[in-house]
Amino acid sequence: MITSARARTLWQIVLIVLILVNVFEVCVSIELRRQAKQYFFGSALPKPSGYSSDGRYVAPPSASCFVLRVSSDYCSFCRLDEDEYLRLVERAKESGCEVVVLAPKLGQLSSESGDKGAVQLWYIDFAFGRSLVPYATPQTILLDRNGRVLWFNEGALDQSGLSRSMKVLANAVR
Amino acid sequence: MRLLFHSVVMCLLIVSVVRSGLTIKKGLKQQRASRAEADWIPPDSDLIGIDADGMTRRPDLGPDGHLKGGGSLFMFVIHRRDILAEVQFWNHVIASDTDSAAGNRPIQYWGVCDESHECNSYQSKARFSIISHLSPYQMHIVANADRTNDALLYDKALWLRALVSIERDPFLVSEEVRRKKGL
Repeated sequence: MITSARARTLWQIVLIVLILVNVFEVCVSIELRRQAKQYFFGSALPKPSGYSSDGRYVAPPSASCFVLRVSSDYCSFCRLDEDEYLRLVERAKESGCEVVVLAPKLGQLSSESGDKGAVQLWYIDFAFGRSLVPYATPQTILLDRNGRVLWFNEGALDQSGLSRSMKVLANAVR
Repeated sequence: MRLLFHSVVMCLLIVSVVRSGLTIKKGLKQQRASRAEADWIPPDSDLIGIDADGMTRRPDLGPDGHLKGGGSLFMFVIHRRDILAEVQFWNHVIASDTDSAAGNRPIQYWGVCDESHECNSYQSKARFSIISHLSPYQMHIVANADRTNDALLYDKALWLRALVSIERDPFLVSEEVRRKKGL
C-alpha cells in the first residue's frame, strides 16, 4: 500500500520529469527552427569575390558590411521589390557596405541590370559557391564585415522585411 | 483544492509534452526534406568557367552545338591541401581512358579547384583543365557532388548523365566513367 507521503513524492517526481521534458522539447524546437533557415544566422559566408561580367577579377572587398542580392532579369519577383531593395541599398551604401549582385546562371543578369554602383559577379569560387544556395531568386542577404549572416530574405522584400533589414543594418554598423 | 490544482498542472504539462513532441516530429520531417533538397543535383548545367589562365573556358563544341566528337564532359573537384596527389590521381584516370586517346567519343576533363586560384600553378602538371570559378548555380552543384565524394559526367548535350563515385583506384574510376558514358 502506497502511503500518502510516498504518493506525494511520486507525484512531485512526475511533475519534475514533465517540466524537464517540456524544457527539453522547447530547446529542440528552437534549434530545429534555427536550422530550418537556409543560411544560419551568425554563420560565416566567404567574403564575396569572383569574376565580373567583363572577365575582371574582383578580390574580396573590405567593407563594414555586405548586401548580397541573388537576382535575375527573368525573375518577375525581383522587379516586384525593386523600390524596397533600392532603399536598402541606399542605406547600406551610406553605412559603408558593399553591394554585390549575382545571378544563379550565366546570362541571367545583364551588366546594365539593377543598381549601377553594385559589384556584379558572374563567376564565383568553390568556397563561396558551396555556401550560397542559388536555387531561388530574389534573395537578399546581409553580412557583417567578416561575412557573418546578419539577416536574409528569400522572395520579394516587403515593408516589414525592409524595416527589419534596416534595423539589423543600423546595429551592424553602430 | 490543492489536489485539483496539481491535477490541472499535470494535465497541462502532459498536453504540452504531446504538442511539442508533434511539432518536433513535423520539424524533423521538414529538415529531412530540406536536406534532400540541398543534396539535389539538377540535371541541367551551366558549363562556362574561368580557367587557370584567368580566361573564360567553354567546353569544346562541334558545329552541331554538342560536345566535340559526341563525347562527354567529366567534372570533379581537386583539393588544394592534397593537390599533387590528386593531380597525379586524375592524370592516371585520364591515362586509363583509352577511348578518348583513340578519338572515340572523347571525354573533356575539368578539375574544379576548391581554393579559388590556388591550384592554377599546377596546370602544367595536369592533363585536365583546372577551373577556378564557375557560375553560382554550377559551383553549388559541384560542391554538392564533392560532399558525397562524387564527380559529374555530362553527356554531349551537356545534361548530367551520371554521378561517378570517386574510388581509390584511378583505373576503377576510369572504368566507371566508361561504363556510365555508354549507358
